[in-house]
Amino acid sequence: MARLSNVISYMRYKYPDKQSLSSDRLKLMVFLADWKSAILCGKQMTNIRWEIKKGKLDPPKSNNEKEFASPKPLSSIRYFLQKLFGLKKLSSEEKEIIDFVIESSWDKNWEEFVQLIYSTYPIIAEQESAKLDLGSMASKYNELVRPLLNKVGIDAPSDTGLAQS
Amino acid sequence: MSIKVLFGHLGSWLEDNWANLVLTIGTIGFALSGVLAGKSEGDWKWLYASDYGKYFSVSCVLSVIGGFASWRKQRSTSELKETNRRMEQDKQSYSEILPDELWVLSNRVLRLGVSERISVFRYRESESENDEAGGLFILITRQAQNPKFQRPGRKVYPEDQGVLGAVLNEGKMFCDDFPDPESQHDEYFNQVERHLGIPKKIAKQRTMQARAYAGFRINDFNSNLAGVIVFESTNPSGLNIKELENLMSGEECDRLARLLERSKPFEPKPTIALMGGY
Repeated sequence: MARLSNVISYMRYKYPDKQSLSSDRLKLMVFLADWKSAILCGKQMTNIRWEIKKGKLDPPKSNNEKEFASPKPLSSIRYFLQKLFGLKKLSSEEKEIIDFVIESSWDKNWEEFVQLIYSTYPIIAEQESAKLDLGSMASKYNELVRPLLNKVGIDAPSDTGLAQS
Repeated sequence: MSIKVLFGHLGSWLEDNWANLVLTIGTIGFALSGVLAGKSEGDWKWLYASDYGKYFSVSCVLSVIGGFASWRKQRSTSELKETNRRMEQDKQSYSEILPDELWVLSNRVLRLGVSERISVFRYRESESENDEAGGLFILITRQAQNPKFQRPGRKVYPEDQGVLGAVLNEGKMFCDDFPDPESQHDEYFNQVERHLGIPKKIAKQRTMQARAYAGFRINDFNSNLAGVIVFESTNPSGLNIKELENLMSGEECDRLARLLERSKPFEPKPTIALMGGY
């Protein structure tokens, strides 16, 4: 499981439009990375215990807030230094998932981005307030839901390589 | 416009724009104090007669224009935020129409108890060119007094299984008197598989092991299938089929069709996430 600070550093380092990467967007991107990881690997990438509160997705407060709000340049520089000195903090699979998350979302405006988040299975399949178990939801999604969606002619994009696995 | 209203507007404007105003006045004052430091009192000719006076005047004008432009921009941003907020409220209101209708149906019209549940599903046809691809049902909303039954389940359902499959083919379905899943566990799941076509593995994962079912087609105004409403009860005699048939053959069905149509743009769409790779 990757450390949240490393995931955030990598996201900030790789994100094309660094100026527009708000902490709110960053939080939701981490959720996408966790969900994508759950779909592909059966477990989420970070140890955040995601919750839905009154229909809104939210990581629990506490230390996470500090991570998301850490100064942007420092976070990005931190990853650069890690890379420079060959410190591998994220596996290649984790990096690939984050790259996919960035690639699939960075050019979306806020409304489109939020629509994507609120169309993901863990959110539509849960109640107004709930703690999300992304691992078990992903196995249900892969086993029961995704084949149905594929059956009616909706296919995941194949150009990513990740999506079909 | 009375003086009171005028001051009200002024106060409101100052509240929103005091930062820009202070910045503009401060910039001009800062420049002016530097210039005045080297000038004798009352001598204002420098303002138009000297080069630095002209530069100062131009800077003042630019500062005021900048402040004004900043205020206009801030105002349009505030308006945009207000529009977004209203749209969010509208969205919230629309997304609550159908759950509210089911609440009234359950608690006021049918007076259902803790053993019952009502669910509304939208039918989504296949987008594939393959005629055999079929469609699916997406759970839109659900009403139950028992919080355990209120859980959404897997949210997306095949068109050829269970009550939904039967309603799709026959328009309506009624099925009751299933065995008690507690005391006749195996027999219950055997019958669910036999009568409803739901594999045991999937049936065991359901949030409610009902013993009576009734399902009705909801047609849109062009008589196309818009969705299906399903009534369930853990009590084998918990559903009054006559009452439900009367209800669903009348205005209630039209009302649900209309509400399904209105709430469509605000519904979650799992297809968006799938197409995005999630």
